[in-house]
Amino acid sequence: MKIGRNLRRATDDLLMVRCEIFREALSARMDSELGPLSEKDVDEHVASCLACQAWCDRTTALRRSLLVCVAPPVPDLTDTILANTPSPAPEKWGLRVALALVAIAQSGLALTQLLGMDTGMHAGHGGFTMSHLLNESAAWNLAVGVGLLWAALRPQAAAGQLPVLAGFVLVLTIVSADDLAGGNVTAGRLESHGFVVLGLALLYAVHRRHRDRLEPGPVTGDLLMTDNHISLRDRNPRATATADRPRRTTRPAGHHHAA
Amino acid sequence: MKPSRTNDAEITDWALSARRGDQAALEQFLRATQQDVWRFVANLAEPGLADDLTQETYLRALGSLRRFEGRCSARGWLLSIARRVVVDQVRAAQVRPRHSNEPDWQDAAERAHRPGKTRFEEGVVLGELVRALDADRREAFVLTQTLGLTYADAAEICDCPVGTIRSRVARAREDLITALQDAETPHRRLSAV
Repeated sequence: MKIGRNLRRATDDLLMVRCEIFREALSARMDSELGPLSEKDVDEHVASCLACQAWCDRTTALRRSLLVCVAPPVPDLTDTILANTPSPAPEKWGLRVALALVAIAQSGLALTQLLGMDTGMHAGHGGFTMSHLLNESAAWNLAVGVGLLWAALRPQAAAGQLPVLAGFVLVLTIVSADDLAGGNVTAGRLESHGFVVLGLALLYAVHRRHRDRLEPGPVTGDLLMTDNHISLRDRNPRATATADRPRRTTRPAGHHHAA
Repeated sequence: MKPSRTNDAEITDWALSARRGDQAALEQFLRATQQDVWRFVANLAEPGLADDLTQETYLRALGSLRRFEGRCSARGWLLSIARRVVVDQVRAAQVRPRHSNEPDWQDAAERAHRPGKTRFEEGVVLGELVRALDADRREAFVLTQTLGLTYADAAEICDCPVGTIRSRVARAREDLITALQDAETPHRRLSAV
């Protein structure tokens, strides 16, 4: 007997659960969304369940009331909002344009060296080894030019190039000073290094500007915007309690900075 | 109640232009999204706070606009910020002493059935019933029914699966019709709601 009673209770529970899922399906259907059950199953159940039919009628009526009732007028707050929020700083193009020009000059210089024009090197006397070394150095110079151009177009690429170019300039400065003392380099050739140095300076400036403006976003940045909000604390006392609370409560992945 | 809405892609474009400092795009972005934000917060919190909460939402949004990269729709991004603003406001309100203007479900439901009410009054009453819903259900209901978003968009804003939105909307409907039904038979208590 006991078993039988338990069974009956289980069946009742099952019926409740069943109605709930059918109502979810009806609700989704009302909104033209995909429901949890097939249309056929829903129709079959509703045809045989008076409670669900009533539910369907009532929710349909509710939906209609919501559609026809007059929504409160929405005030236009555009001017107030504009007055209260500092607009984001416009992007300054000067630095990037300058970097692009330097990059083009550097690339041009490397190309003329590759094509064997006079760039202040005495290319005539070296034989095969010297000739290859010259080509190799021209290739590196061209690579620097291409890299700088890339950074001018995509400032987020600037960060990765900084250590490479800084190392290059450091070593180049030391060997240039040595060569100049030993009379192994012409002034013209040294001047051509100016573009690399200038390029490094501009690369650093572009990197800083980019970092300050955008802070390369975390992967989920678009969804987790609120942790650096400016609070209305001064004008809006309600905000005080939350403004004092540490806001870093969201997913840890939000703090990864893609370099 | 679904308003004719500006294309999501267009709104996102305006947001990205505004990020680059385009003032005209910023203004268009504000005008195109404001109604949704206002109605969203007005339905989640007390309507009297809607202006303030809308402003707070934009203050936060524009403060972090530079980190918006257009990976999701700008409208959804904005509404998820509005949602956080309301959550924060509710938390702050719990710290302060309670006000007496909490929505009264029983009272509102009874007024909903008073004969001769206007559609405006009906709207006010339904609004109060919606505000009295459980927070999760209310959120899902307002996003999909009042703002007319799809379940998928609402799921993104609430950061939950689509199926959760679906069941919350169904339960919100259940709660609302139960409240209206109970008001028709005044002797029953609303404890089941």
